[in-house]
Amino acid sequence: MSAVITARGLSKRYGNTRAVDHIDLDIEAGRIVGLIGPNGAGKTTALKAILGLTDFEGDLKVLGFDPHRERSELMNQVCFIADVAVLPRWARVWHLIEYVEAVHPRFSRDKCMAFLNRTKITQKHRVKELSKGMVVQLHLALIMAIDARLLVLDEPTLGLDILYRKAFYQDLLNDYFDEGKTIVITTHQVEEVEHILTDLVFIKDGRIALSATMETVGERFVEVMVKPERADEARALGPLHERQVFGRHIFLFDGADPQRMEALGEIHKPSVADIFVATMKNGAAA
Amino acid sequence: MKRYLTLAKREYWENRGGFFWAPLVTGGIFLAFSTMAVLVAEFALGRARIQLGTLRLGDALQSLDGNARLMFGLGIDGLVLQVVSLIGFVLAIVVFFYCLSALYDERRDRSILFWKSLPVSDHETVLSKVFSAGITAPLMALGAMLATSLMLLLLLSLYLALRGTGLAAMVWTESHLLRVLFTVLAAIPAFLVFALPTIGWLLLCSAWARSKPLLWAVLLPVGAGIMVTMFGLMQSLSLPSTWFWKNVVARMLLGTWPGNWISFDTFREIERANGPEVVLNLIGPGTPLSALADPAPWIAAAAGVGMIYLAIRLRRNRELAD
Repeated sequence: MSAVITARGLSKRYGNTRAVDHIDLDIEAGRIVGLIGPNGAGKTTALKAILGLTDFEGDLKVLGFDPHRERSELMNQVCFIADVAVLPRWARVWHLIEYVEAVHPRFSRDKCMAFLNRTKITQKHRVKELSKGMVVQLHLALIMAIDARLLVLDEPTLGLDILYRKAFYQDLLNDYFDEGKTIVITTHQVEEVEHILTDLVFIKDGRIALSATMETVGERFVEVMVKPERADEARALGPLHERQVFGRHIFLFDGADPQRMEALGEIHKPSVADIFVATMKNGAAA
Repeated sequence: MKRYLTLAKREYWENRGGFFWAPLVTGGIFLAFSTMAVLVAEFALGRARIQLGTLRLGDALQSLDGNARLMFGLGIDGLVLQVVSLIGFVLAIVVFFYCLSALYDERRDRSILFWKSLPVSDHETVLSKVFSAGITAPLMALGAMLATSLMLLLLLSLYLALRGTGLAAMVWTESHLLRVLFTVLAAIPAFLVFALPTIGWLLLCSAWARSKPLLWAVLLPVGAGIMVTMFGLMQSLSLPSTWFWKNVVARMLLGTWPGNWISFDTFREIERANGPEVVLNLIGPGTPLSALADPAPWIAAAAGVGMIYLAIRLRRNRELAD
């Protein structure tokens, strides 16, 4: 499949700090990519560059367009939710539907209404009368009714309760995603997106710390629970990370030999959150 | 076409209070006060002295000779002119504050992130705001002027009919409602040209200010004017300091004031005018057109276009703080 996003040496400086520092990135069509990093790692800056909301250094092509110079053309094919609760508070639901319908050639009113009919939102509601969760539902309904090739979500569920968060990703996966579409998500709440991702990108200090498909992540990383007397043996193999739970040592290895691991102790598949923590503490793993 | 109509509608949806209700409510208040004035005069002062603005109702009720008929009709025109200037005054304030918040509020409440997620370019968005300030708002104000004037004439003829004077029909035959409103309609192009520097400057402040756009918008030109006056900067160009106030400060801040194309000399004549007919002639459809023969408003309008261009650039390139 063709590349949706290609970045070579993508950089963005604010004064003396490099928010994004020479990033190379390739995102293919039909993927769901999690862009994950701590606060201030440069996720949002990278997304802003991808969406043409900021200028940048280096090469960046999104669907073949230069996102900053060819922004209007790009926006015909790209959608994004850059933050929760950015819908204009004064607007009524039908205002937003009519506006998006008039300016977006790929918007389907029927689809949008189908999504909204599953919620308690009516066309007469003003955005300011809706709860935070309902505003996100409305935004998602508007965005999912657009047949875009790339959807970018920046912390889309921040501040929502667990019911809305679960439903958000479920709707996205069941009703929106197909092999012709690409989704890029940034979030702190790794646990919630991990089961829907196909690719994982960790960002640390403006650089990419890890970039791999979920399959490779599953093969590469392994967690071993080791009894205290064998801990030194495990440490000698150069684990990525070590922690202790109930007197047992848990080691996280990257690309270790499975047989040796099994000999050391009980093997687990680490969660993305564990890999994330280990990667952020240890520096580059890619 | 539908696309641009929707961009204009979006501005209207957000600003219905200012564009639609403010002029209409102003007209309603005018009607309420006029009705009260007539009723109070009717019951307290005696009919002979009833006067409503320029309209000497008392005189009209007494004599019906040719001159009185003329004065009666012109008195009504004068009243309609009062409606026009009152609503025009409200329009100026509405457009001023609309421009000042047009590109600022969307940054403050971050809804710009939603607007920018749609395929609408910055110049389309900003120009739709210029259109709303220069065309939509004055047209809606004109609608309110028409509605208020019609109600006013209706109430007047009703009152006269109730008094049994047989003058009720004259309210319509002797006045020149359409002529007055046509004058207003013909003034809209002049309004746009004269308002452009103000619209441009306010949109620029609105796109640029990190906070308090009103303060910047007022302080910068007024501060510049004070400096110019204090240091006599204009004298080096052999121009009086008032030139700067009149051609720079006033054009940047007061351009939305309806009738600002009427020159000071004309205003003096209006003050000295001894009848509404003179006033009507002085502000008639020819006045805004002749004001446009002067190059000064066009130069200022070009500067306004330049500032609108800068506002577009700012909206496009400005980083949004997180």
